[in-house]
Amino acid sequence: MIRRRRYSLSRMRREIFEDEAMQRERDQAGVEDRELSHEDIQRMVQARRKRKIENKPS
Amino acid sequence: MSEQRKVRVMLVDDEDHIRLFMNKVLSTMNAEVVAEAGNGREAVELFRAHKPDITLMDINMPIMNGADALKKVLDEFPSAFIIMLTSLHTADVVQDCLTTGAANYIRKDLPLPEIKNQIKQTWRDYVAMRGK
Repeated sequence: MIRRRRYSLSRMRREIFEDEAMQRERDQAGVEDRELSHEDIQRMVQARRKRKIENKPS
Repeated sequence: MSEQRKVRVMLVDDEDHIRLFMNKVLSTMNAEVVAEAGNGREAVELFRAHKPDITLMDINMPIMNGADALKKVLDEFPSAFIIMLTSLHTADVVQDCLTTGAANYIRKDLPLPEIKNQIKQTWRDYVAMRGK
């Protein structure tokens, strides 16, 4: 039970961190809630992919 | 794509002509279309049955949209490889799909060679990452 709660909190923290990181990416790219260009989208995709690789357990 | 065996693809789009077109495009890329769905609910059911290597998913569809189908499939199959291929590209939708776990997000209005290139590149990155 305790283990499950810890996992949950850790997951929540990670998700908050990821949302904040995504928001920073969008702010840096000057992106608002508007239609994104292919380049804007690919910058977001690449940043996300990079983070996924970095976070992958070795 | 560059692998020996054909890559198994599921197409999800409510427009028949888009599925027909992508079917022809994929046949030139060492890929075979193993399933086609016309809405998100069908996509979830067909994913369970076929477990494709790649799913190309539209967003604006009846019954269940592609963003919801993406969530449902990834909840059940966390390693599912789903590329959004759509005409909807507002920042909130793109962010939502990427946060959920879409492998890429491709605008339908890109020139065809670029769409093919994006699909190939995403698949190569995925295979490389999976191999690490």
